Amino acid sequence: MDPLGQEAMATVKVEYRAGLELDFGTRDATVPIEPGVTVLALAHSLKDKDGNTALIEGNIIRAGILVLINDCDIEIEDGVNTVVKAGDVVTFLSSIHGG
Amino acid sequence: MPCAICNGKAAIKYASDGRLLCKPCFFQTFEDAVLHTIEADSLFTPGQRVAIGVSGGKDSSVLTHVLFVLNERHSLGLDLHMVAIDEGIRGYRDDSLACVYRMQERYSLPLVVKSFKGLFGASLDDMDARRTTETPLCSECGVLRRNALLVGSREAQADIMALGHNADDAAEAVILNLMRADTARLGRGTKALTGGADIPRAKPMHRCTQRDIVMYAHLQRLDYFATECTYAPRALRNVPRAILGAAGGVIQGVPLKVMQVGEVLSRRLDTGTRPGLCERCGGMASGRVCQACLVVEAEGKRAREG
Repeated sequence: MDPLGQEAMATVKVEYRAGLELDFGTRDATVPIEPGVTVLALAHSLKDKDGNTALIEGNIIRAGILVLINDCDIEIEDGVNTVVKAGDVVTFLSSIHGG
Repeated sequence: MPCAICNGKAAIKYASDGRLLCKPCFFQTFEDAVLHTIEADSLFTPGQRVAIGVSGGKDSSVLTHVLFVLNERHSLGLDLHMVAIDEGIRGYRDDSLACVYRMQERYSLPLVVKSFKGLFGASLDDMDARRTTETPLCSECGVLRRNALLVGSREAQADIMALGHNADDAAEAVILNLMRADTARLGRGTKALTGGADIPRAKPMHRCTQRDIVMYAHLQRLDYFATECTYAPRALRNVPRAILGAAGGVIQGVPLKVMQVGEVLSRRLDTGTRPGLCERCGGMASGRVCQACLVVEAEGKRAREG
């Protein structure tokens, strides 16, 4: 974190949906980001209500979790290496939770 | 990246074939794929009463929405009803049923709810409490739910059921039946229409992948209840699910490929025998008595023995 608090102003809105809201105990969160952070790095920093990195398995995003930035599938961009910018809405969807 | 259909800005990767589509073209393509299954497999005819099996989960919520939209847009002439099953699973079904009631309000469709307790004398939680082993009740629950859906559809006087099974479900079933060497059921889950001996069961989304269904539900902002059944961590289905999940990141459209294998194998292995009707309840049965009646009999015996 920047000691002067300038970079700390940069945030993204994170949406937990399709079952993940139960793991994280919330539907929406405002998360501070470092400049140039990727989706993968952001996912690593997000802890569920038990303190686990629930979006990560074996250093990658868990199979069956879909990610959108501003309602756009990250597979259209650079996948998990897509850079997240201040003000983005990052949505994590679980396709693992039951139908 | 341009949309593969309209050249607008692409937003979604359509998992079924890998095309990049904009949001409106994704919706249209998804709905057209369901319409194509309905037409190609002659699932419905105009004037039919269709009982949609709804759970409040994403699959049946998307199915209800798409059937509702297609029925209006293409004048399919379907009389849509909803049937929901309350297995009696605390902390799971009670919440998802609340979602079913909200769907009923949104689409103004008639709803029939049948409970395990009412039909079989015990909820799933009751049956689980009587268990002395760790064996999950998922197979029994599946058999009873199938039977309860039949009873509910009869009560709704439906001509046919519409169920939200997707390509991932079908692929899981193929792998599961392969592991059990259950050759008779190998291709059953891959068919869009089954059970001609009783009220037929149509699966209009049987070629839709889970990924596309989750995307569709999210982008349409559909109201659905997404959580794991409290018994799911013990389910045998987790084995094929993990295999498909691991392969999904590497092979494009893996559920559809596994389904294809199931279809080919089932044709080769087809013995020509067709299920008859259960002599107790009139449901589908491969023997004289159907699986549901056998499960109910076994559970009744367990209850009497305390």
